[in-house]
Order: sequence, then C-alpha cells, then structure tokens
Amino acid sequence: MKRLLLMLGLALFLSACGAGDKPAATQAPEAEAPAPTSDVVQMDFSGLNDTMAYAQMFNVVNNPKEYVGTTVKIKGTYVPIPDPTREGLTYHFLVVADITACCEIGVEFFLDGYRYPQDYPTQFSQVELTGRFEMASVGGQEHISLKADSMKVLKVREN
Amino acid sequence: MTSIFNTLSHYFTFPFVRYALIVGVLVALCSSLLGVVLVLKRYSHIGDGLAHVAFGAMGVATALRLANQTVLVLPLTMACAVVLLWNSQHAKIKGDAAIAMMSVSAMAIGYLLLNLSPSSSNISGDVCTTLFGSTSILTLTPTKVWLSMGLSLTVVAVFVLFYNRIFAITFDEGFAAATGLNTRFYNLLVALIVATVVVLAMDLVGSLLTSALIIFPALSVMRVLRSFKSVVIASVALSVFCAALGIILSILLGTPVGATIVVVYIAVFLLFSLAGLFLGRTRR
Repeated sequence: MKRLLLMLGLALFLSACGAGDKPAATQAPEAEAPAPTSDVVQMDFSGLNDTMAYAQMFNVVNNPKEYVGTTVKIKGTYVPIPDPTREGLTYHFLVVADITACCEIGVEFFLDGYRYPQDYPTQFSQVELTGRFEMASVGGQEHISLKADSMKVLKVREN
Repeated sequence: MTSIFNTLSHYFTFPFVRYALIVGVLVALCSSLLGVVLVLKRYSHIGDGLAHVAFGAMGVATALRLANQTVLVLPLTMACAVVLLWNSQHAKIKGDAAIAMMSVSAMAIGYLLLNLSPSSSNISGDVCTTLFGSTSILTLTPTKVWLSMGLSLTVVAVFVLFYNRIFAITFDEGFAAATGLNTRFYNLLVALIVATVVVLAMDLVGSLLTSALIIFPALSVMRVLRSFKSVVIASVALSVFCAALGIILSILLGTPVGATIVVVYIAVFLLFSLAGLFLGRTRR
C-alpha cells in the first residue's frame, strides 16, 4: 500500500514538473511564441524555435506540392552559391538549421529588383524573407523555391 | 502558463508534431516492455550493441541508396540479435565480448560507408542524426509513421500473447526448459522483438541513446516495486510519460529531442532511487 501511495505521489510530482514551473521552460516559449499570422503571411516560420523551423522546412521541401502558393515568413542563413558553369550567375539560398546546426536544409529564393552582390548581405548573414512558395525547374528537375517579396537583414556576418 | 498552452496548441497544428508524439509514445511503450526482460536477464547492454549494428546497417542502406532504409536495417539488426541472444550458448565468442565486437565493427563499417557513399553533402549531419536522433522524430513521413505503428503493435501483441513464457525464460531458463518449454524458440522471439524495438527507437533518440529507452524505465521502477507484473505495468506507464514529456519539452524549448527525452528518464530514475532509499529506511 505504501509503495502504491509513493508511486502516486511520484506521478503527481512528475506531472507538476511537466507543468513548466521552471523559469527557463516558461520564458523560452513566451519569447518565441508564434506571431499572429496576418492575411498576407499564411505560414510564419519566424515565430518558431530552431528545431521546429527546421522540421517544418524539411516537410515543405519533402512535400512541395502541399505548400505551393503558400505565403511565408522565414528566418535563416543566407548562402550564395555561384554557378561554376555560367560566369556571373549566382544562386541564392536560405538555410534553416536545427538547434545543434547538425541538420540543415536550404531553399532557393528569388528577389526581383535585387542585384548581386550590392543588394545582398555577406554570406552567412541572418536574414528574414517574406514571400510565396513556388515550384522551380533546374535541368528538368522540379524543386520548391521561394519567390521573395522582401528581405530583412537581421544580423550581418563580418567577413 | 497560458502562453505555454497557446504555443503547444499552435505547435500541435503541425502534423509532424502529432506524428512525433504518436510514434514516440508507442516506441517508449515497446522498449519499456522489453526493458524489464533484458534487465532481469542481465542483457542491458544488448540494446546498445544492437543500436550500433543498426547504425552500420543504415550505412549500408545509404550506400545502396535505398528509399526505405528500414527494409534493410530491420532484417540485418534482427540477424545480429539472433546471433547474440539466441545462439549465445553455443557460440565460441560469448556475452559482452560478442556484443562489443559486433557493435564496434558495425559502427566502423557504417561510418566508412557513409563517408564513401554519402546520401548528401552534409555527412556530419547524417551521422549526427543517426547517432543522436536530432530532429529525426520530427521529420517522419506518413509511411514511416504507419510502419512504426504496425511494428509497435506487433511487439505489444507478441509480448501480451507470450507473457507467461517470456516470464518463465526471464527468471529461470533452465527450469523452463526442464518443464518442456521450447526456450530456444522464445529466446529467438525475444531477440527479434529486441531488434525491432532498437530499430524503432533509433528514430526517436538515435542509436547511441537507444539503450536509455530500454533500461531506464525498468531500473527506475525496480527501485520501488518488486513483482514482475507490477514492474512491467509501471515501467510502461512511466516510459510513456517520460517520452511524451521529453518530446513536449524539446518542442517548447527547441532542444534536441533524443537528449531531452533521456535527461527526463535520468531525472525520473534519480527520483525513484530516492524513493527507493526512503522505502528501504522505513522498512527497517
């Protein structure tokens, strides 16, 4: 009987731990609480923590057809990749990583009216893009890309 | 508090979070069922060994460019489990030596193959995901979810169906054999379900942390309970609770899922150890 009562007591204590009485557990979600989605932005990645943003981005890249046409706001690392076969052509990627940065996934983005390199930040800068997912075709292979309307530089990476 | 619930309810609108919780809870349930048997048979280390084997098998599957790696990883891990558990009494290299040899060999081969034939340019990412889980539980495809559910339910069904026989071979295999029980068959069955659980658990916590799912619930509950049945039931309940709490905490805090779950298991083990000490004193 005593064991049973002790087990019950432990269960109640553990439930209390899970209720988030630690300051770190309560503060982090408040700071990272998802921003309310406006009519324009249907999917706001910027309010998600790194792990959740990576997982959601993984789903977008692996199920592209479900997300075509969706308007989004995403934070990530800006990575330009020059085309080795065509001089002057550079592809622009937004890379989203998980908290340990061991898992990362990138999406190509296009910005009308921006010229490279003068209008873009240095590589590995933190940026926030707002735009719409579209399908793009490279060499006959389709992949999801982001047609961005705007780019906000959050943190410039010093070279 | 309200903001936590708001954040959680927002996160649960994502299908991958719901998948993670379903699979996580099922894997925790299966691994804790088996954990009691393995701990009592003094095979606690086998989960770790088989998880290393599963890593090696995943390296082979990656090199072969298999879309569904489970079709290769599961049979290879099962084969090694059979060699280690079922045939251990007749083998020339026995017990911990066999486990150590098999696990390091599989790790080396797996890592070598991942480097020689990587599935992506981010080899360290692939290795990190396989070893520590990272976000793999949050990136499950619906096919993988159904497969995990099917395998988990099979493990539970086998355990429930053969509960008495598994109980018999756990406590006294010699006596069970003397009563006419086909102990070799039931050892084979245990070996196969251990391998299945290890492969399932890799998605949740990664291959290096798989053992935690198997041993911690059983060891925690054994601090305060004694009978086989009560330990099995309580460890299942505890494991499901810890896995769900770990997943929810990692989603809220943005921490690696596998490591968070294991830390929850460790905290619970310490708590139960204290409770066990308290009970021991009051009995005297």
